[in-house]
Amino acid sequence: MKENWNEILFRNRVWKSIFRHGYPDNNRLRSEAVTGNFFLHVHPVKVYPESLEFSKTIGLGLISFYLFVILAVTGVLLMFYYIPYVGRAYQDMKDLPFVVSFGVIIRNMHRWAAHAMIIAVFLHMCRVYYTASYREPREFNWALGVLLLLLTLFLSLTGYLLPWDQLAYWAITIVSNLIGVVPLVGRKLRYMVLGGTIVGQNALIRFYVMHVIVLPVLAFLLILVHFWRIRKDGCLTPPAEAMDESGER
Amino acid sequence: MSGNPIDRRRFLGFLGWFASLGTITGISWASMRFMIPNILYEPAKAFKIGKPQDFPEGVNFLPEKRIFVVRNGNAYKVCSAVCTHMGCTPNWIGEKKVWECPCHGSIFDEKGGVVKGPAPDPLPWYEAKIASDGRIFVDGRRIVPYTQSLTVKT
Repeated sequence: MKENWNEILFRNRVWKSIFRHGYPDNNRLRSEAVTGNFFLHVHPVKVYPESLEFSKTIGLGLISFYLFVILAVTGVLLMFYYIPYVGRAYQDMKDLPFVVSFGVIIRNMHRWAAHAMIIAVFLHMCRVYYTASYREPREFNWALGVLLLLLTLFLSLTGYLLPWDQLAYWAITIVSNLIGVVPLVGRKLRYMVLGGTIVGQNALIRFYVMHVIVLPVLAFLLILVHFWRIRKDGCLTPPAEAMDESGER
Repeated sequence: MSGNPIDRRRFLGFLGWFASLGTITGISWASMRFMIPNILYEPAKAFKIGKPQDFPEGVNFLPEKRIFVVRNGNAYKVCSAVCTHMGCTPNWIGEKKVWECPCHGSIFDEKGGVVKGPAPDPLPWYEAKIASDGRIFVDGRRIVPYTQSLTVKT
């Protein structure tokens, strides 16, 4: 019975043409299944068993990544109903919970995943700091992580304006006034960010484009490099490396 | 426990597949349903126009609704004012008793039929009724034959 299913599902031309190998039932094929797969090949070839213990990383990096995936998918769905026009934006946002089927779930998934991602990224950085994983040879990945934190914050900020309610309007008014007091270039910078002098249609479309295209694409690219560097830098920090010369953790 | 038909590992494996497939199916269905709008901001396909006596004898053009109201005594008919070729508005030419489309020269006779192309289809006639407030109710979702009229008692 089991052999039959193996035969039908995994030992045919279609399966082999897609996955290039049979069902991974031995260690060699299992490692091939990872290294030969486009999506999985960024994974490290080898992992220290103790780094896989949940308490060592609390899975915060992957949690951040999965939240990013949830945000991307729900964000695309929201784009089908949201029109970044000052006369429509608030109405479209209100329509989601009240007249769109499952709109309340999709919108709140996006909203809560956004909050959770800030927390997860922050805790991830704490974990990296406390396990001394920012040290050589992982300094560059730490720097990438700082950029990713900034991108997460910018994504959060640009998304905050889109509901176009009082909270959004005044939050962006305050933030743009903060930009305005940057020495020398402040006023020009504020003019460029808002596309004008007030939080209006130009600001809304600018924040929208940043939120749905520019920042997510940048974040996605940096996430890929971030993952790739984990592999190149020798996987997760083994506990021995987290100690300093005196043997203290 | 090798004698058990289903051991713990197989049971948990089955449970895992069941949960994963259930989640994927549920999310896919919800996402598909999400894509079907429940309300539209399009112009209404069914609407009320004026009272029967507001329309003079002959062909009346209602530009906002893009329809012609054709009155013949007590009989009223409502015709689409959208050329079936490219969507321009044909003009009623009273002397020739035809509609002529200004864009590509299509000509429709007084029954809406195509006299000259390129229009591929005749102008459709819409169902008209008297609403409870005495106004004419036009339902653009219901196409009726030319022979059907709204007859108003005077």
